[in-house]
Amino acid sequence: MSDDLDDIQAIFFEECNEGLAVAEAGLSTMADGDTSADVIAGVFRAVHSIKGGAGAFGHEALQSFSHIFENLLDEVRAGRIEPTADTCKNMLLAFDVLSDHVQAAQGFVAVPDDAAMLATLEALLAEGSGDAPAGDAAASPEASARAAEGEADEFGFMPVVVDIEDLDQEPDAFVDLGDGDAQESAADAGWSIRFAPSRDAMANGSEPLLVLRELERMGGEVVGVETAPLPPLRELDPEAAYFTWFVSVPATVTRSDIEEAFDFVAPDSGIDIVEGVAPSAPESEPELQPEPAPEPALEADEKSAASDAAPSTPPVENIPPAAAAKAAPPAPPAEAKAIEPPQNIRVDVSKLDMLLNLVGELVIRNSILADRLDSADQQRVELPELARLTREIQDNVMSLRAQPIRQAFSRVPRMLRELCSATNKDVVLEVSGEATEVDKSVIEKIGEPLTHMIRNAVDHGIEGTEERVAKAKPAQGNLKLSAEQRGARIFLRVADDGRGIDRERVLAKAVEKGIVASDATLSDEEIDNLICAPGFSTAETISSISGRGVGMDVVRSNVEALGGRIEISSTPGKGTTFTMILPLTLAILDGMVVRLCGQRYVLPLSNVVETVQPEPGQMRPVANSSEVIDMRGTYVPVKRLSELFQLPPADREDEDSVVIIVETDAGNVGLMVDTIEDRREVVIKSLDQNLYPIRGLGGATILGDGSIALILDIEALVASANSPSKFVLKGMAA
Amino acid sequence: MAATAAAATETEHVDDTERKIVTFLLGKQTFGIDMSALIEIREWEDPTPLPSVPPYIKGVTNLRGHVVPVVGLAERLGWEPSVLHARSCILVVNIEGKHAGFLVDEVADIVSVADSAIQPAPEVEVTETSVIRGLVEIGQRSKESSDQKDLIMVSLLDLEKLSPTRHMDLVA
Repeated sequence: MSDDLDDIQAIFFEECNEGLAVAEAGLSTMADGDTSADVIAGVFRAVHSIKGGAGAFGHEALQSFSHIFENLLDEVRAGRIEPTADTCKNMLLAFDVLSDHVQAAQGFVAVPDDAAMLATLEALLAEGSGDAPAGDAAASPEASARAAEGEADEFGFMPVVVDIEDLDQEPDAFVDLGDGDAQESAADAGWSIRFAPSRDAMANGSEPLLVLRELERMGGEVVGVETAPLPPLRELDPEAAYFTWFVSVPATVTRSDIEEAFDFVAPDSGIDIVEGVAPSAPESEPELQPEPAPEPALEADEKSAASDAAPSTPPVENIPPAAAAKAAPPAPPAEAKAIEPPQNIRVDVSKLDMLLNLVGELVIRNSILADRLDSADQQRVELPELARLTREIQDNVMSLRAQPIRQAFSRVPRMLRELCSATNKDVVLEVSGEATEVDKSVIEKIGEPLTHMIRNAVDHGIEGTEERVAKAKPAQGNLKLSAEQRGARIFLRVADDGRGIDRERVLAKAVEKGIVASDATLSDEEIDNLICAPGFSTAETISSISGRGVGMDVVRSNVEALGGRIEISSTPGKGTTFTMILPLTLAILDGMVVRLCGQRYVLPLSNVVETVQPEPGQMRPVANSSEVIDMRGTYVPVKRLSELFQLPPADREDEDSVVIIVETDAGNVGLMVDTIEDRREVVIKSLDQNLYPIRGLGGATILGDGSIALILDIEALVASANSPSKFVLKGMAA
Repeated sequence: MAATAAAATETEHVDDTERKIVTFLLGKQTFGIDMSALIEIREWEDPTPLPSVPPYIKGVTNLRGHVVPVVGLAERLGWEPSVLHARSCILVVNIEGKHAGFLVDEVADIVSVADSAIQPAPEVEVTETSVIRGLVEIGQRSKESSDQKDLIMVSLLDLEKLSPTRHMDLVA
């Protein structure tokens, strides 16, 4: 039981996070000046959903905060509060507090102190509308109850919580508002609502009964039903909705509350909300009210009552109800067709991981078959066709795990706001390519490097406003965050228009820290790369943001651990761009299989530049047992893989070996192996799953014969071989 | 003595519960591991060697699609490496979700022992911090006569302490 509840809560929190993402995107759009009704409504709905779920699960702090926030959004939605830039900014801040509350409700962090934010929101509410707060306050206790039900409906965790609330509240609410207000409404001209549920409402999960109940709870009354679309009994689909309902709701209820009742109704339903009471239908058929189930037992006079009562569709408010009569009875609800929204299903990630593993096995078995069968037999058993299918299954499984990178970007705006307020800088964020899809495992792991790079850009790159103005730059700093897919790699860019890398200072610092020799000559590019050197930090003063002993070296090692690399380009005075080049997936690698001392190894093909079989004399020894290979006049350092791995020296001539020139951060390097065997896609099995990460190895894979080949991590391999003097060496070679 | 108390609380609250122990030989000693941790027993086949790992990690092998490290248990305990022979085999175990294979000289038996019969390991330990979780005496199946049972001592291994992932700190 409690487990079930936990599961349901987990779903709620997932929805919360989705809601937060929607709200944040919407609020950002608003802050950028687009305050169209759709955007506002989107944010409102998201916050409303969070509030409802919070209420249902008893997260009081979250509920009460989101309630106030929702009220403000409601006022904005209703046009009573102008969504000025200032208001939007405050709402973004409120959003931050809201996400803290969500975190707190999950037990991740302490409940935030929201007093100041609440005061701000209340102030906004108060100044926004003189009279609105009263009405709002009156509506609020009920609103939250209703929200809870709305939530239950949407999330599908209805039974316990909601029904009890129903029982608790319905009698009071109904008695209080129902009769009394029905009379009043005649005088006040209440609302006439026509509700034609989509035929597939039930299938879409928007149960019309819940909407009607909610309207009733507000004091509404079903005044008529249009039954004409009801088909003959034998054609009746018991799960379809055929009727159109006419409800009158007292004028004391605000339009937004009524609209709220329809929040989760399928978009193809017909909904008209018109001010002005329906002419003659009050108290008409009481037996209609309780259970509006689509029974074919409705009587004809009800039907006529409905057509009397219903047709009021004056387009503008304030038109007297009398004008209503002319409108034709509403058309039967349109058949749902045309646009079917994509249907989603939530899947436990571990199941996808399992599926991916199995597909990996399938790929391997496939290559075992290919290894063991000669080509005639392969044709006979249609192996190529099997291979094609396997490949397709693999691609599809991979795509199941692909997620838009938006998820990794979503935390950036907030982080930037906090960074800006901490550094007193003004930075505007530009995001592009957030729909680029990347494997989930990659998304999970780029968050941290991304955070560091953005901190770095704001803290070190972008100047303060005064400095910018003095340099005749726009006062507002600009930070571009972009993602782009190129082949099997994704390019993630963080570009600022700040002061660029101060190369003199970087070099001085590197010399001071002993990272490079004092007499080394380095190219600009190499100096830029120094900021990724271990133990390097250029911050003059240790700030609260980046001076935590974690520098770009950590970013680089994180990115390299992902099988990616970082490129830095900087123009003094103009800005710096960091580009992370990452694999789309961490699970499959395009590799070159090489053989060395009887073992097979896999090199990532993306690192391979070319391969050479050395001619006699092409390999030249240099001092200290290092060697270079003469590549058309350029000397490229060569590492013998057998030495790096301390394998017994092979008894073979250099001319019988192969040098594979690979591209690394430290320039091109040749790796000497015995032979090249194959080129194939391999399924990466991590070593640290059962062992621990081993420097120089990116993992392992299982080859066609069931044996294991180790995957080389070229960067680490080359770096470990000459790490302390890497930059100096490179400087000399260049 | 402090260890006694700790180990006692671990075993005593489930007084009469019996557990199955897989016993095996390493040199002349008999060791045991909890049967519930055992995934399979397989014949020795040369694993793929790994660079820059301690010598007791013999390499990795393919266990139905998983890359599993193979540990020379004798070396791990600081003894001379096992000499491979026909009865050498690998005990593949599950240690808190991580898989590892241990090279042992010979698998002996599967026995049931009561938890209450397990004594805490004495504090005199040969290598490192104790990898022995407890000691238990079992009657060995005698080949000649069924009456005469030789009692032998089995050292129960603490697999968690033997997990190759524990050496992550040393490497990183």
